[in-house]
Amino acid sequence: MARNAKPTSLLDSLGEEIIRIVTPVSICMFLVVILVSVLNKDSSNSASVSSIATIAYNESSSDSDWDKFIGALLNSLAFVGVVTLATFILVLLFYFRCTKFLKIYMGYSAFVVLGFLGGEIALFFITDYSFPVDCITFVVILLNFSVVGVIAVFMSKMAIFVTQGYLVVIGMLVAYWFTLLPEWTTWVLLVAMALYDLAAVLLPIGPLRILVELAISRDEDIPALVYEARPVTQNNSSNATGVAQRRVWRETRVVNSAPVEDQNSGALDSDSVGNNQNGTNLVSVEEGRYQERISELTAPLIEQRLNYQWLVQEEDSSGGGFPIERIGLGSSGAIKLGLGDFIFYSVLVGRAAMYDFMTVYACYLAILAGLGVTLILLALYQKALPALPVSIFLGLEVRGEDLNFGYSSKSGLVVVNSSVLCKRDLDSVDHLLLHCIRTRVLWEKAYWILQANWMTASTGDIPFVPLPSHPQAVYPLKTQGTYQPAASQIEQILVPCLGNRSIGPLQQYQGYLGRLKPHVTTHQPHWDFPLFMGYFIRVFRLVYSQIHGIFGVNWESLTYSCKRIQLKSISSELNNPIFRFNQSLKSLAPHVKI
Amino acid sequence: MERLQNQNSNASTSSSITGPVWPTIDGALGLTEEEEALTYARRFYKFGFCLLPWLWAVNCFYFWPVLLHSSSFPRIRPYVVGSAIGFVIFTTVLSAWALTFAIGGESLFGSAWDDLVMYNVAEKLGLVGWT
Repeated sequence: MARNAKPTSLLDSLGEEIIRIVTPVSICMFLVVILVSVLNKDSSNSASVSSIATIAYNESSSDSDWDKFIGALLNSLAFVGVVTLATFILVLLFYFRCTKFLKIYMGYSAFVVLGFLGGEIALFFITDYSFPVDCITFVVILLNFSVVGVIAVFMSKMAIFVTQGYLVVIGMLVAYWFTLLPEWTTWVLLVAMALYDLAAVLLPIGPLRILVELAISRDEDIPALVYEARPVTQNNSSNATGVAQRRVWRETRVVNSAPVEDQNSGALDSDSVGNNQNGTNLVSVEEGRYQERISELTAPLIEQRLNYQWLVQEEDSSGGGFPIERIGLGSSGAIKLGLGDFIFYSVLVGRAAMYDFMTVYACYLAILAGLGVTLILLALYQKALPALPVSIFLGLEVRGEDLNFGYSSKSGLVVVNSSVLCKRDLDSVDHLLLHCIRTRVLWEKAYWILQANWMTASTGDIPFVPLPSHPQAVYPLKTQGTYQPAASQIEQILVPCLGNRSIGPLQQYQGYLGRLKPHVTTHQPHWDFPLFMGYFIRVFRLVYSQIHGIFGVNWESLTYSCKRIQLKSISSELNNPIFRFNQSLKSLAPHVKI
Repeated sequence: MERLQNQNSNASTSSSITGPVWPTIDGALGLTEEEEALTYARRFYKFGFCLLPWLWAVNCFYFWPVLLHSSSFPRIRPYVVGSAIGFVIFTTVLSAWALTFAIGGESLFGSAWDDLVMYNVAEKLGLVGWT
């Protein structure tokens, strides 16, 4: 095979790595949605589980909204308190080099999650559907599953696929358990965890930051449950001589950097490590055999959740405790995402699944967009970053909007099969997933963050011509000329901040999306950090408001805030056709004949 | 060391014909040294005897190249083949029992079926009581 001597670009490796992270996150979310929709049929929303997270207040459907909110707030504060305590204990243990204890605790927590939680959920299935399995078979299968899971998490050199699969399953089980919490508690808990993550990772006194710095100074890995994506091996490393090394848990040797020659690639040795938070065993003080048993089961569960939601390159197994959301890049170039991130993304989507599927879909896209933003920031900042906040806030924002469109009645005379999202075009899978204006806006955002300019085909593969009766503009498509101004504007925003890197074409996505190719142009700007900060703030605000923008645009405040950053090109960019949906088509693309 | 060099030269000559270079399915990312791979294969094989057929299956999956190419890695191969055989036997026995139980039902087992079936056991032990 020919060797590709061209240095790999940031976007090549980053694109591949993003796929390898996004796939398991999506699988985990999908599984949780399935579990929620299949298992929650007979239990109503008022069924709740006593656990650490409801220690302060147990929601019942008869309380008023304000009571529920205060109760949820108390619950979340208690939970965050427990997590903080557990993290500090973890930092202490790590400081005193009790790594063996941490590893054993990690294995123990994996066993409890897989064995007890997995067994519980399997029992739910069996009792709901009256599956005639006998107890001997059940016990043997469950035992097998848990023990092999513990081994996969424990041992550093297990099959990658098996380890990754088990980590996803652990995340799924814990996330499903969290979705059983009362409604208000869940939402407030998500917000509280995102804020906590932000604080713990970025503040100088934050336990996660201390842990990362300790790990970096000692050149060790933090024991925590972290999902590590398979490292992207470049062409020149595929032979026996260049062995891509995965940094394994126990080894403190200097890791050979991945055979990625391009220094701009994602192979950055940020030793942001997932921290294991050791959970403290908070025993529930509630009475009753029922609740005691739950607390026994959930206390180690909570402890296990001290997975660091790190995107770090270690397969840290987390002990219990609260997941800490972080993102880092491993020394072998692989992206690591802590298990807590998996869990909380899935909780968000799982909760949304209890309402309807449009919410799930929108939340999913918002989470992906947030993950993309965080990954880009990771590549740029090259240090541990919290992975939760952006995604959670985008997801909650989407959820907060009234996405409950409901389905149009197909029996009506006036509205026949109109799309549930935009109510303008015919409803079809293609339309909902790819061509609907609202969907495309969300996709455009996600790709825009990655510097790709989404060129989509129209429904039915003909050049899309919007109907004159719909004044809301849609993208003119599939023409070479139309998007050039757009591309350069995107470049003006993002590319100057990335330094002197050439950007190659992104991969083409085959299969169902085969017709749609993200299109990236090459550019050679120079690095300018203050400019980047200004751009970043604008990008973040623009993305945030764009999600708002689907339902109504508040351009004035945005323009005003951007003007304060004193960048001349901003207002012209804001007025550029890409982001404006309320104008007529003519102004969007004046040179397209209609 | 010698063996490793031997293996490497074997690998370089054999890779030009057939034969895997690495014993594990992960290729360059998994176990690369034969000694370590041997330890792992042996350990998985022995632990599988504790009623863990799934561990045997994982062992076979992990060392899939060893299983596929019958002339490679002669020291690892017996353990992997043993794991494969063990997994097949155990699965056959277990699924035979499970299918008999499920299909036979009460007519075959009588009252013992109700005692053995999982949802009754779970209710008796109160494992699903809280939802």
